[in-house]
Amino acid sequence: MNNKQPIPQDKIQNILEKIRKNELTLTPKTYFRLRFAAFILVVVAVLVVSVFLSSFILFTIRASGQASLIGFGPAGWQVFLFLFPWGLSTLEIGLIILLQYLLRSFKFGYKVPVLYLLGGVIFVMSVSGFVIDKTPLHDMLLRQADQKHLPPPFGNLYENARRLPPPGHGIFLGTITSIEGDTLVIALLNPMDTSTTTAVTVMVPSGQIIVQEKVGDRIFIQGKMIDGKIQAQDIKNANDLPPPPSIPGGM
Amino acid sequence: MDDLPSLTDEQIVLLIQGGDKEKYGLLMTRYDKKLSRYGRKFLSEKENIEDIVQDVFISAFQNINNFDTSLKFSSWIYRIAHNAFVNGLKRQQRSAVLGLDLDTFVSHMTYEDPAVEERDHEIMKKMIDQGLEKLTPKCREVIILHYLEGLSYKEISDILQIPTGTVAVRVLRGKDALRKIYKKMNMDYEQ
Repeated sequence: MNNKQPIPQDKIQNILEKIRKNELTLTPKTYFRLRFAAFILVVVAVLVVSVFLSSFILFTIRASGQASLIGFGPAGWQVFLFLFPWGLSTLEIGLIILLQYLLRSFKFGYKVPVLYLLGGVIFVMSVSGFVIDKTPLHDMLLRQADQKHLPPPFGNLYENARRLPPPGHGIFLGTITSIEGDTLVIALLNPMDTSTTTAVTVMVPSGQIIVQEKVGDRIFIQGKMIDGKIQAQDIKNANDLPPPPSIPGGM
Repeated sequence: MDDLPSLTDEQIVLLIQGGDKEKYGLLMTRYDKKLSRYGRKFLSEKENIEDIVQDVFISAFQNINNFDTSLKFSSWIYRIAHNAFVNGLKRQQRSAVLGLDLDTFVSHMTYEDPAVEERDHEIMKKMIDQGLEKLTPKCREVIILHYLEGLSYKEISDILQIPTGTVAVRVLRGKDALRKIYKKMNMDYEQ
């Protein structure tokens, strides 16, 4: 900045003089078009990543059977909150805020109140995430990840999508290998290594109807592990979960 | 300098974009005093204001190909000037003028009655100059743009890039604040 105050007319003449000498030039339209195109690309990229992430969050909730865990009451809620993809959700919130900020550069973006725009973005993300989760996309990518065909970071993302209830919370996931009266034998997935299982006997509580369960079904069990046996309090079907990679048909 | 008064700002911009760069002098003549007056509401040092106005003109010229001639040139150049003055103010005060703004979060109803507006403008102009410094920066900028620069809510909305309803609310708050300031000073708003 100048230290000397320019007289208004001088100021205008100075600028005109610079224009005439080509010291001041117009930035070409192409530059602005390219910049706008780059901006649109960034907006679209953020939108695509955000939609993908929202559908992936819904998928991980489905793949971990978290919705059915809620039916187990407080213990189920505890595991639900433990398994919830907090990291991805935080990243998604960050992307939504970034998208909202980017959209405010457009006229339609700053003409509407922030809450409406944010609500609109969240609504679009949720609906599109829900719709994409209903397509076979994530299940297909999960199979690719199981076969180690998915490059990082997607491979790691999908390999960690199926999360088992953590030990010590009284909730187990396994596959029925035999049914005898009120006793089940299940192949309990090892939380530390999902490619290995342990055969465990499950004592079904009196009154619990298990007629709809059959060998090969996957079930969530709420109960206590005593002397290598699970004293079940409640059982829920988990056949909707994507099969683990070690189970035939899961590949 | 302005020997083509019949041409609108936007038509002049079209000529400049078409290669007649000399016409930029017309736009500078039209906006020089307006922008300097606008700057005085942000900054006290005249020297600083003139420097910033010069920078605004240079920046506007360099970026004139980015201006969409279907929009209002005044809103566009005021937007550039606004950002430049706010930055100048930040440097001067070393405090943030902009930040999280709850007013922009929800929708507000707007209503502009021309007859009431005209009378309101006269009263406010007299009052504003005396109480402006006591207003919050957010209220101050809309009061300046609306009452001193004579811009509509829609134009202010484009300059500040906030919803029109938010502009209306800030104008209302600014007026209320000024009333309170003058009440304290035993001055009548209607005088």
